[in-house]
Amino acid sequence: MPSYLRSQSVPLSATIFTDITHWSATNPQLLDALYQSPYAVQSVFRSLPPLARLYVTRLLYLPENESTPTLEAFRKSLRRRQRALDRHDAAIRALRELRVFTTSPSGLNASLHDPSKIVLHPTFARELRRSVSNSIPSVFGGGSGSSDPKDLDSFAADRLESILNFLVESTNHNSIPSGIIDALVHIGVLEQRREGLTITSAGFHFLLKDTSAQLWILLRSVLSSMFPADVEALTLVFQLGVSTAGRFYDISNLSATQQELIRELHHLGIVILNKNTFQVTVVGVRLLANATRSSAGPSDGMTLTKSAGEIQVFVETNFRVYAYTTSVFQINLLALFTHMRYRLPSMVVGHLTRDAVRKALMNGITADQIIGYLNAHAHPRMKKGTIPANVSDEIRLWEAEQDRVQTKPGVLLSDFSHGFESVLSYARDLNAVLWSAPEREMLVVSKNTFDQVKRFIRDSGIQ
Amino acid sequence: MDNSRKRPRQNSVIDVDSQEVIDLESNYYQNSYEPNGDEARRLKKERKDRKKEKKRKKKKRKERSDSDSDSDYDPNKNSKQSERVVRDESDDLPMLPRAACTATFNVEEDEDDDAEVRDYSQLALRPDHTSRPVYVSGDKRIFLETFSPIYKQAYDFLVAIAEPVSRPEQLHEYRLTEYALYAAVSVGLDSESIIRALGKLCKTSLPKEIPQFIRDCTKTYGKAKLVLKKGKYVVQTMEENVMRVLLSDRTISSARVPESEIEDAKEVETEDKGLVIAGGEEAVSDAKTLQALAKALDEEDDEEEIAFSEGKKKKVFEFEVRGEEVEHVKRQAIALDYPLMEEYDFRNDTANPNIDLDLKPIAKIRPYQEKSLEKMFGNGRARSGVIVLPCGAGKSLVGVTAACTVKKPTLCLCTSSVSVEQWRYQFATWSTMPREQIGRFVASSGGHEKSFYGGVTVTTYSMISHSGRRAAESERMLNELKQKEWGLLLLDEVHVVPANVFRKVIGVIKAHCKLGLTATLLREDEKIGDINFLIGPKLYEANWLDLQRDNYLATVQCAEVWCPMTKEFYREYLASHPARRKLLYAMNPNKFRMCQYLVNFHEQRGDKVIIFADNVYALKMYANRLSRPYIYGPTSQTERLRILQNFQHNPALNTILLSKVGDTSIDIPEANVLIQVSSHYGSRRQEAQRLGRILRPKPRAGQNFNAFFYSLVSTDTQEMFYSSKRQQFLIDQGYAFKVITHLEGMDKAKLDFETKQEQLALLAKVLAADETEASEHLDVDEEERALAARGPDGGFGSLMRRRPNSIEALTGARGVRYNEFDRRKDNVAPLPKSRRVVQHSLFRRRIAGGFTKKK
Repeated sequence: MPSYLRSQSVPLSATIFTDITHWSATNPQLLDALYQSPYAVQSVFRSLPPLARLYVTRLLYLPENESTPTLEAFRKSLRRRQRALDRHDAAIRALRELRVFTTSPSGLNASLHDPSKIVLHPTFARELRRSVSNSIPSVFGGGSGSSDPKDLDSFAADRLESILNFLVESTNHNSIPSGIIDALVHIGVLEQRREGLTITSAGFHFLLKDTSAQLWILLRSVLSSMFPADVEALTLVFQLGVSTAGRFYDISNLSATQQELIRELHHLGIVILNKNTFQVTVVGVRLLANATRSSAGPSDGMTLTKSAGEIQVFVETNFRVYAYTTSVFQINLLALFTHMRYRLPSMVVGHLTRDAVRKALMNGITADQIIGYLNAHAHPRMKKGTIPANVSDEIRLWEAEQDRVQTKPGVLLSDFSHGFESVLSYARDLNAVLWSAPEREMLVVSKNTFDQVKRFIRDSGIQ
Repeated sequence: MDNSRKRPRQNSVIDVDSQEVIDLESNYYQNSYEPNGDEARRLKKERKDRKKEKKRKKKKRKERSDSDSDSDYDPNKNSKQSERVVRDESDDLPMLPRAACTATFNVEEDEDDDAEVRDYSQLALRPDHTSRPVYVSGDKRIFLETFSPIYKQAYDFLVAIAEPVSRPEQLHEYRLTEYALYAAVSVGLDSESIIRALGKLCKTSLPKEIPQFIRDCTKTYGKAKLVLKKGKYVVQTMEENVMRVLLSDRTISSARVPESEIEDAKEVETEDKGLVIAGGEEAVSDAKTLQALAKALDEEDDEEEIAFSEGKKKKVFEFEVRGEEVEHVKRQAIALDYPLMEEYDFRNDTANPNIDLDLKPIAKIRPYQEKSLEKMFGNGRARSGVIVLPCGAGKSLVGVTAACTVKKPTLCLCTSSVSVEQWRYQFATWSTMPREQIGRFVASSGGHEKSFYGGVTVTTYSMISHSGRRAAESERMLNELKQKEWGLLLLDEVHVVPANVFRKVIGVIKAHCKLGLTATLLREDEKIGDINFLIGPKLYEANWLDLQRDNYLATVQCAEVWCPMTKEFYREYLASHPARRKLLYAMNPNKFRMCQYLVNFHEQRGDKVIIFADNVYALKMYANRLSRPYIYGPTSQTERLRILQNFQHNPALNTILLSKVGDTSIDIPEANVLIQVSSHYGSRRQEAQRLGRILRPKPRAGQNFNAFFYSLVSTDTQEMFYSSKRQQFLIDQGYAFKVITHLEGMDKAKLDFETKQEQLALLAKVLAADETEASEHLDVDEEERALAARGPDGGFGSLMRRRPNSIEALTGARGVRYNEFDRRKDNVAPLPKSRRVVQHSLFRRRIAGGFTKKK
């Protein structure tokens, strides 16, 4: 498992291209194979920063062996401002990471400051030129027929909501397939504990994201857990991005791996798998077509955001929570850290009690996440659009209450016959003293510095 | 076979139960003084059981009346009911109707009971629900959106029919209770219009339990009135069957005059229009509230016209009863579950002469004051009841205006002799009556404070209820007061006075109309129900936040300041028994430092600061250290006035310290900062009262907050627990307590108890403090015990009374002299159970005085 996926914020904010870069670092052939697909090339091209795209188009139709410009030349063409230069550097970095630029045909000695000529990845350039000249076949052989986009939307929304509900409830294990659960565990949203699967702090963070970001995270977790560095799977993902929503495509043309992926995507609501055909949902097309926007900014999948649950919350100074929502998922999410009292047709009433919040805190949800969630969904009539200061203060205090006792490993030194002062001052200099009682000649030093202190004691001949 | 065997047994069960009910009622007053937690819990349970039992009975009764629908009245019913009526030993104490027993006010939410989500999501949402402001849940909870355009009307309506639970900024919660509905009925609303209006407000269709509940509660209440008309007592009712029920009772029918006139159904004008409250411009009427509501609602939909009657001629059945039998008639009507609502038709009262009393033109009553008076004089007569306004919102003006409207002899009762003078001053300020003519009745201690009688007379509760010996002059005066027929009885701070004092006062004083005034209708010992029933239902309750928003109240920043215990104090704290613990957390040096810092800070800003310390030992120490004057129980009247005057007018004195005595009635309009050092367990009332000291709006403009309320709390002690309890009421009124853990600049400021030596010296002093000195005032009242019983670990209260003492203290080696009291005297005549406790607590106080003062 890639280690960065475990860390808190990286996996949730990165894009699929980060994954590809990561994989290609260990497997250089991955990109060469991937660029065989014009759809992948198109997607990668779109994901590049604007300046990088400009560079690519400049180079794209340059005749070979002509005076190809150097990086330095590009750089010089810019205005001499730091921001422009930064943008240039970022563009070049992106191009190199995805190996769109190769400095020399051999690909050796590639470095950012190499003044030598730059060359586009040959396959990439070829497929991009094909795309521009509109000579690529329609994806999956064109497909046939179509169905009502509303059905597709409701299917997608149902799928996502069932996954989200599963996360906040963690009781009915049967509701979502085990593959997805494994993927969620893999990405660190769920954690296997003694009492069963529990949502983690990162998982809570995941829940607070908008739906398109959530889908991307799910998709990437499926890819990285089941199809790591798999060219066929990646190609399929990019193909789906240019397909037509609702059209029936034949499944038999796909490879075995791809069929397997389609099954998983069915669970995520990105495609609908029929007997011999599959359809891509509107949500799926939008999601994959806007691959670049996977996490930044709000998604334009408005229909999805809506069905996954709108909520407007009032938090009062007396810790009562009044939330206007009909979404079961949002109610369940709120119930993670609120004591629920009433459920009314368009509103739920809860109470932010110390117990309820502590339970959430113990499950790894942080006070900032709770406050952030409440602020993000605050009812527009709330003062300043945030929850009352006394409530957020109290939640932070409850969090602070949790770690009033801190433990640090240490070693107790006592029964000095002489030289206590010199050891104490030495340890002080090391910043190793955790506790000392000079009158009783006792001292506790932190465990990791103990060896040094021990050496000092031995060296200076103190017993 | 089976059935026949079952039936008699069932009957016998009921008989036993009904006896038990009576027993429980009489036990209730006796037992509730037990501070023990278990006892309190048991009582609670018993009350619950009793309630259940009553419900069962009611149901049974209903079933029976359904079965023989020909006659609504069943003679058996009567006798059955009178059985379960509370009989008190003493005859002059009024009885309580059913709703009084179930009345609860601002009772703390039992969160444990709330463990499950109540799901009412199946209620059908109306298509235009967004324009309606209210949700009603099946368990009688009401949620109101304050941002609705018809909020004001909806609020007026809801506060009339339900008890407010919490009223913060955006969404209010109310609870429909039997008692609140009784109050609603008695201010002129009837069941059907309540149901209709609630249905209009509700976003969903009403849960089916609700209309049923409202009908059940209002079925018998508010149907019959006792009106004093031209010196004659008249029982009025709109419904024939009610009349029949009343008349078939032997006691009532024998009191009727003249015997012959029975079935006369007369057309009487019921709603007199056009009564103008003194100082007001427009005439008031009950129908206005409903009309305003209807109007606001009709703007949204016109599907249905709500026709509310105003000033219509209606059929009314009435009969006159003999004056001397009135008490028996009232009692019997309660027994029949048709309590007579008392109204005073003061304009037609010719027996009592009018007094010359009017509001001065400068007195301008505020909208909410007018609204509360509207409820009182809504139908052209004066209703008895309680008006709840926050401290500093001008309760006295409401009282004065009421007196000026009635224009009949008025007796005003308040809690202390300081407030007697303040009330007289208020009457002199707002009304045309000169101060010399405003009578007073106080203990004749000094020479210049003489008691005398006036058209308006002000006195204290204890002057009336005191049952011991008194000076001959006082005796004479009291008899005079007793014999007079008062038009209006004004009762200030109704919530502070124990129920039995009230019963006594009301039994002794003959008044046509009773008006109670209070800021916080809550007591921790659950006695509030009785008190209010003795006076009348709650007529109006203002919303604190609304008043604050309209600048009738100061905007207060409330803060809970956390003061960590020093290591040494905490060690002692853990090892001590409860009484000592209280002292230790009050004397925490960090708390003192925090207090000192705040005092310095606010004095520099030019604020006037009050420091509250319940603990007398802490009070004295703080006062000495800060070199500021203090007032507590034993401080003499003249000295109190001197200190208060200095505080008001002397720019050099900006801080005073007060003990519990400053909680109520001492009017200190200048103060705008309040620091609470030690307090009275978890008393929500005290917290609210204290906050009230600084609620009078301050002229300091251009600032977000113009008053500050700091509550200093020693962390990790029981104080934290009590503190959160105390704040509950204010939090429910929409106040936010900000937690302060660290004050900017504290480290640099020069404060006392900087060094460990100083702190240890203080600790030594605290530990050496005498037990009696260490504890608070010894006049532990019943409420205090009820509070103590609810400590964080249950039965903490029982420990509190057992004071381990050293042998020196007990033998007098510490210089304490014993005074002997003749205990037998108290035992000579066994008192009725209901009064014994008053005696008991007085008795305790005397012993306590003997211990501390004679040193």
